[in-house]
Amino acid sequence: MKSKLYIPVTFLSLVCFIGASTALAADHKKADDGKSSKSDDGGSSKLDQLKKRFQERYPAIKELKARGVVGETDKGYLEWVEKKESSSADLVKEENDDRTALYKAVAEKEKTDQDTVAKHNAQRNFDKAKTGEYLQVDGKWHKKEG
Amino acid sequence: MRPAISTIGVAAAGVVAILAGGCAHVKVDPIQVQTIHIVHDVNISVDKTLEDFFAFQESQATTRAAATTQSTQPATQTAAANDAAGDVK
Repeated sequence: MKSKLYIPVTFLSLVCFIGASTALAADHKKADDGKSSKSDDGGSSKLDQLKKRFQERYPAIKELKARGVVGETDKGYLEWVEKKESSSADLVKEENDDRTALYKAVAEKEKTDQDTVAKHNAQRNFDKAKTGEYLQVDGKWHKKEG
Repeated sequence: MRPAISTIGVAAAGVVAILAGGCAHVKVDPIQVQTIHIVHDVNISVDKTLEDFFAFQESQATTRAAATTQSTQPATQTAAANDAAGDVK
């Protein structure tokens, strides 16, 4: 009689113990997932907002580059080739400010420094530049040849 | 009488065990992550991130090029048609 009862009772208590442990573990996991997804959303939404602004400015920036008013530098920023055009001053400043924010965000994401990201983007801009656009290397302007 | 008391005792022990199981706080030891030596090229990763971020530049350029081709095509076709008509005359 005694031994007959021991087995189901022990089994039942074991099942309850495992169930409770699993539930606790699931709760912890859920809490951790919530934390990580929250931080990811913050980062991606910041980049999304930046991208939207870059997209809006892109046609105007492209036009300024085509006219030879601004050019890309080897530091990853836009610079006036000759004289500053007052009508486009705000646009160029916003573009450079957003580039700084982008380089910082990418550097944080990739665990590197801002300058490295800026130089990578400078190289990318040089590669993508159209023939006749101005590129600045070591403070000197060069016209991209085809 | 004796077997009945012992049965109740075992059952009570079982209930206590169940309740204790429900309230158990499981403490998980910190997981030790073994160091794996992978040569992760940050440069490639940065390039890819930038490329993905500025992908809209490529798509805008493609869209514009397509629009330009479409707008010039009818004019070219008309000129070609006129030339052909002139040849017939």
